[in-house]
Amino acid sequence: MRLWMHRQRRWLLAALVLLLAVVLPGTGLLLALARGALVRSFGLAVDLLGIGLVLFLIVAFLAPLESLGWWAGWFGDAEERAPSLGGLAAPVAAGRPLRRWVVYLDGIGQASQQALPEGEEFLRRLAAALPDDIAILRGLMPYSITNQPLTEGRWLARFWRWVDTWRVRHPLAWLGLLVNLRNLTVVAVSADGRYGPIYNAGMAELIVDALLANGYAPGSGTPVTLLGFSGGGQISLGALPHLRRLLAAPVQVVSLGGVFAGNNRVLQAEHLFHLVGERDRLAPLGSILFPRRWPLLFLSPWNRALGRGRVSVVPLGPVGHELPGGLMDAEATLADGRTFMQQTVDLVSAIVAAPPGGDALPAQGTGNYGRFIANPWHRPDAARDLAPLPDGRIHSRPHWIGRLILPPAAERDGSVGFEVLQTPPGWSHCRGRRAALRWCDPALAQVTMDVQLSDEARDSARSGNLHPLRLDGWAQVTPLESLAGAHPHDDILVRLDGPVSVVEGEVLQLEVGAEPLQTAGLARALVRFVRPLEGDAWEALAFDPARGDFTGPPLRLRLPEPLANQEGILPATAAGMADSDLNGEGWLVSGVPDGQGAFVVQALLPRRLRRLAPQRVITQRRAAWRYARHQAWADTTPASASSVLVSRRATGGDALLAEWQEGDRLLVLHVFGGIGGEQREQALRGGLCTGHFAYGFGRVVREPLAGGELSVAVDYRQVYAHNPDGVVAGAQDRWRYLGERQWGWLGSRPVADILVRFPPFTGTYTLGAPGEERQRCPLDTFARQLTAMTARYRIGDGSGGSFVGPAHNCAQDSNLALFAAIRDLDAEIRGLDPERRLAWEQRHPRQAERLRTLLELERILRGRLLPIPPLRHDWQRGSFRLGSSLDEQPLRDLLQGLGSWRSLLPRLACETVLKVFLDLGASALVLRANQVGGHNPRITPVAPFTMGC
Amino acid sequence: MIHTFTELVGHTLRLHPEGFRLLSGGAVPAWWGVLIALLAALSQGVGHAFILFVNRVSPLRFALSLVVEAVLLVVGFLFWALSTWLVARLAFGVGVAPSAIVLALGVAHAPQLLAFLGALPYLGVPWLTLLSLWTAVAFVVALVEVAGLGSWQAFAALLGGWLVMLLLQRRAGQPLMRLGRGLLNRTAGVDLVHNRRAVRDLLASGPSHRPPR
Repeated sequence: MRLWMHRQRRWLLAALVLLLAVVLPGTGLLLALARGALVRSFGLAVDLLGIGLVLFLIVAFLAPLESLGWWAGWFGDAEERAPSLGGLAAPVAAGRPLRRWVVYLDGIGQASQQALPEGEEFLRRLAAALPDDIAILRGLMPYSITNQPLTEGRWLARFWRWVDTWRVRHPLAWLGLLVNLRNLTVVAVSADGRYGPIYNAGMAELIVDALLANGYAPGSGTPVTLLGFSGGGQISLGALPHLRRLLAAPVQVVSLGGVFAGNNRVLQAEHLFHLVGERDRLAPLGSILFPRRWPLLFLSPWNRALGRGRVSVVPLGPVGHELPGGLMDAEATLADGRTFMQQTVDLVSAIVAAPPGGDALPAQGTGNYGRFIANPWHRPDAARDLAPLPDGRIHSRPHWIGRLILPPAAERDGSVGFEVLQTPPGWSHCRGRRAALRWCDPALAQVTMDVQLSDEARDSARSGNLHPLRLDGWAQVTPLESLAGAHPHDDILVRLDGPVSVVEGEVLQLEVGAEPLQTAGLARALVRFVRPLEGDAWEALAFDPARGDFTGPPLRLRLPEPLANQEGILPATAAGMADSDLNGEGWLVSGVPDGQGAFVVQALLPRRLRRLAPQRVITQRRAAWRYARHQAWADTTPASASSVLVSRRATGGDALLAEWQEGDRLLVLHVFGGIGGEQREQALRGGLCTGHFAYGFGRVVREPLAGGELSVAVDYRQVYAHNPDGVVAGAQDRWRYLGERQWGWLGSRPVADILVRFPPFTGTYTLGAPGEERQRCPLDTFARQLTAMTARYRIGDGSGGSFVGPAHNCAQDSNLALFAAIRDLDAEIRGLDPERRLAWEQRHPRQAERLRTLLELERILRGRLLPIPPLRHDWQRGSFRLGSSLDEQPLRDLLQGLGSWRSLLPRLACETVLKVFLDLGASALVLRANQVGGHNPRITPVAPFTMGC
Repeated sequence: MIHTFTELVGHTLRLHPEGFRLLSGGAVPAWWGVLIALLAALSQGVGHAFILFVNRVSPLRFALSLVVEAVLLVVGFLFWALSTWLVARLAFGVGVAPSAIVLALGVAHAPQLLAFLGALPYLGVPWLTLLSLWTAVAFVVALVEVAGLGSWQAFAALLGGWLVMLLLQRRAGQPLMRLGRGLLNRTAGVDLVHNRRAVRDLLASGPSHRPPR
């Protein structure tokens, strides 16, 4: 900032003087006196200046007339252009396709088809420096929509010819300023919100005509570089989007000291290189005069392009704008002996001649994923993972678990590869084989779509976010393919959920009907840590279900230190594990054998978060809500976890707990907070911790490792935008999402899992006529909506990018899925004819009562989630588009977001939904944990922000 | 007379209450207000002539359209002045003649005489915004001086008058509005596209897809 102020001190001084002149009382009077004195002393000069100003205003007033008249057809047909459409600066290679076209648009000093002498010299040198498969097109008049030079075919042509001749002879003569002023008004036309679209479209058509007339192969997609000097920068950027549309080719812009407004669609450029010298007094004017280039307007196209790395400012050193001392000065020299002109030629030729792909997308993934993937202990490795388990007290997980493998584009058949790493009992002979996995669900067809990465997704990928680059250009990508191809590597480990149909043959074929769950670890145990051993090894005791305690010979576990993220924050540590309060109850650990007799803990969860029995039960109406809303997040002591069962019904604690039976299904509301402390995460720079929200599903189960104690199993449905951490939108179990020591959040963030039991929503209904009855659970409808939503998020509705904004984010779109599920359910129930419904109610009176409560829930939730329905037509119609970000239509996005404002903030969304459920009689198990695992003094938990709901 | 006219306009531009006091002295005939409003409307028409160009109106029709648009604006102004008079009378019990309100508000249009500069590239839009604010203040000052209302009352009367007019336009005034639009379209020779989104779409279609004349 200080440096900037130092550089801009003259302008700042001028602005200050102007401000004082306007603001200070009496200054106006002084100025009037000064003017009077000036008129008396230099009367004629001052009057001439006034006349000059009026003349300039007249010229400016008439400047749009040429383009407006051209558009309106006042000057004849639009196709009637000036006969000259420029020419090539130098001959190009014959018989060889051209690699790139460069179109030169001169500065505001141009009066004729010829550029100024220094411009022509620059083009000669540039042509000599470039290979002969790059063509340079010159000779266009960028300040006339009809390509009409000032010196020909105009009323004042004779005058302009005289001016042109005079200023070429005397470069410093003030007369040359007239040409500049005239053309400056045209630059203003191009920058104007009303005239600009006409002028810029016309200029783009002119450029296309000129390109075609000079040999550009139509439809070839040959890239084009617009090389704009001074005002030519604005003309280039104005024409850019139209040119890109007309040519269907990438367009790059190189600005030589360009002056341009910030309202151009810079993001449409392949890239903008802005070459500017320290002594350039004109180019910086653009960033002062045009408000959209002020950093304050951070959503302007210019600032967005800057933020997305689409603009490179190339410093030229002590170089000015125009001659002498300008960037085309062939006499002034730099410290390295090159002339200013030579430096400009070198830089431009290097940019233009750079081979395509210089701006290529990172293949490996940068960001945190790029770092974490280097940790061999936290990625699937068949050679290691298939080794026998080192101890009988560590149990294989009884599921099909394997690594997804994306097939090559040419071999797609609807399945993806599945390297079997773990199997249910009886299928262990399949371990190590590669199976063909299919996910069959007719509903998936709606979210199967073509993937073509948008520019925004590409920019985001370059900045380190993980986008499905491997799927770019693929047609009809299925949700299973988008899951397998979400990472740059085939490293996604999944557990097959629900029934799995197996066909053994030459190729092992697996078929599922539910989304594969992203998971971590192949075997698990319930342990208590005793003491650290050498290296990353730990001595632990396993839980003995027969004795109900941690006994027996010690286990040897390994807890390798995870790699820190880009901000230096460790996702988890093992320091002080044995001293943790949670160690007494024990830890569920999941991992793989290390092949050397030990077991590597890839993920861990405190038993307190797994067991059903809570530490406290709160059943008083007010106290229950007070806990859920305030107290649960009030305690953010690191390495602590709590479990509290709440209900607003006046029920006894034991009776309430007794309602939670094995097999009960649960709705899960998940929220996480931020990382503060000495290593405060970048996301909290704004001072506000928004956090993250997700829904999930749970079930009350018996935990065999703990002797069959009642526990809760939780899976999430993560509606997660593309991110640098490698988190993939979709179904994830707790091992992967929370407990994973490298990839999960449990060790570094405060988290809350709120498990809601509410039979009208989590119970089942018997629908259909007698004999044709089918079981339906609202949770299943909701799960289907979330599956579709997460599949769309993975590919950004085909754009390859899902971004966080007020209208679309984890909380908004998760709740949109809930809203859609409720709408579907409502339609299904109301769709019954009244007589049949009455008959059903008589057959199932208890279910009918639940159904009435469900409809009440639907009504209240609808009102809470969508308080301003007109603002969210997308929710009501059920149609919306992901992959759009705040960037595209910021105000519309903001308004839409406000239409469902309770879903704007993750914790607020969670509390809003929870309150509706609790008010209607639900009970909820509130599980909270704060940076659980080892002790890391450099970070502290930060609760997510909320407000009154 | 010319001197009085320029003095009046000068005072109004400077938002000087003196100018409006001239009105109550009876030195200024009521049609001056209409004349200033008409000239201001013509100037506004030039400032917004971009719309006519976008719709590809031919030169002769362009000039005629400017005149017709100005006349329609003046008619709208008269309705607004009358509804303001009505609100001032009913809400604040002001006993001024309607012609005095028409004169005062017409003269208050003086800043809009410079609205033609709204056609200036890039500077035009902020200039028009500035003029709108300038004119709004002039309206309040004019009503304060002529009707003897307080500033907030004058503001409320103007706003109320505008709302009444808007209501009339949406209800009983529909046929008149349609007539005005029809007249303008007939003069321009095309169905004029005014809506911002439609104009944007028209421009986005590019010069090759310009509407036929």
